[in-house]
Amino acid sequence: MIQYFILTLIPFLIIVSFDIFCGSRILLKKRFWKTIGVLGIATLIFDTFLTSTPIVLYNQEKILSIKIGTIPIEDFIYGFSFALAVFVAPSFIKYLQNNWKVILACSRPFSWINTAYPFALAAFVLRGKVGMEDLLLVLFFLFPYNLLVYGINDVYDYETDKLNPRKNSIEGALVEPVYHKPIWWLAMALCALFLPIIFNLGGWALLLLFLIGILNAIFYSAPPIRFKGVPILDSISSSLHFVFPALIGVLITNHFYYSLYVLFAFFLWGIASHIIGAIPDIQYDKKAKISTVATFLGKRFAVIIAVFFYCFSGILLMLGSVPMIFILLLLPYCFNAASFLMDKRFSMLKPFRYFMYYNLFYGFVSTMYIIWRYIV
Amino acid sequence: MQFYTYLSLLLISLIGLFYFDYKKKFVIFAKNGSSLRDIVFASSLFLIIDIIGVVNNIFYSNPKYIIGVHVFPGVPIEEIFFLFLFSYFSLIVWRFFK
Repeated sequence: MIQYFILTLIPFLIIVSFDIFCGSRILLKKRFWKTIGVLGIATLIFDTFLTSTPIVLYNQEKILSIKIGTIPIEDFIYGFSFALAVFVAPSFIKYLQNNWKVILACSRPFSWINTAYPFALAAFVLRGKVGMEDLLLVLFFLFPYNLLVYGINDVYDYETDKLNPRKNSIEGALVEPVYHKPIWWLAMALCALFLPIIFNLGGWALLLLFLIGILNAIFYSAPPIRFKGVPILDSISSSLHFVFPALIGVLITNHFYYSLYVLFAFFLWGIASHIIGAIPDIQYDKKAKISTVATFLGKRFAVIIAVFFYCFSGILLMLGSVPMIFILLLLPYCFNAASFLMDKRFSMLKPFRYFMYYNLFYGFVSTMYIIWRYIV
Repeated sequence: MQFYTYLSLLLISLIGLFYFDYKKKFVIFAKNGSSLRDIVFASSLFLIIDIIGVVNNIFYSNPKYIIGVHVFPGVPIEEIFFLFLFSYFSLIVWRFFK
């Protein structure tokens, strides 16, 4: 369960980091520290009254043992963050007004469902009921997680994105440098907000796994690792973006071993789909001297590998005793991937567009099936 | 009467602040009317933190000293006044040092 220290530390870090990176640097002003001095004294008087009367009571197991009189030290962190929040509020409101359109666009709203759905499917179906924390995590995998994956990608790919006509569409945004810092900050702040929920659900082990997932999302695009610049690793890392939400869903319901085949099938599907996504960019990537799995394998071999992985994921689903409809629905992915070889023109966007829309269709049909089979 | 202890304390403090602000025109009574928006914004943020604290059984109010009206299970109406008071006082001090 969450401790008071963690509950105060997270807003403290978020507000302080906002002030440093995106705000008006109130922390550097003498006037702020004078104000904090006065507020500290006021808190000491007012809080001593509240805690000694006692009007406010604390669960002793959930606070640090450090106290000033009868006041837990966490109350001072709370007060500090609260005061700073009041002072940075004008900059924060301005920040939202100036950046929300770009932030929304670079999170790829069209793809939100691709990460939220695997989590929701795993958590809701395996648990058999929906908890408040599950719903909050669906929210996380809808927007903040996609902002992390795609927003940071857009920040580090700005130079090459300028040459790519696929940008500024549902497949991505061209994000001007002025927005890079706000995107970074918001992505990290939103992730931090969800850490206590993850800790509540699965303790340190799940928190560690969650952090690995976050790091994978960051270092897919960010230096010094930048997985997307290393062929093969780019596909693995990209696939893990989608497996990660499902894995979290499976772990919080304690169905890991039961779902192993399905998770691995999903992982292979993710690799194949990443390859499909990289093929239309071959020319731009070669021009920009970027190595990807598609430039490394070449168009023809990349398509063969993608079709093979789609088929292999179908076999794994069979081994996992998944209903046949889910396996048959994989066939159009294979045909779509193969159609890259038939497209003689340079523009190979069509199969990738079909792939994006077909994902929605797959999700719709499988949801209807689950509702019919398990709920009705 | 004990039930009104916390609420009375908060209301008296708030009336004092309003009076001071009315005289000095620092925050809500200043020409720039955005201060109330900042107070509401920060208070809403910390109301969420209070709710998380109550849900996780980290802190709670002593039923002896509150009137018993709750805005959320475990979060008394007094908490709204407290959040308003704290943010209002913070802004007054902040403007005072300008």
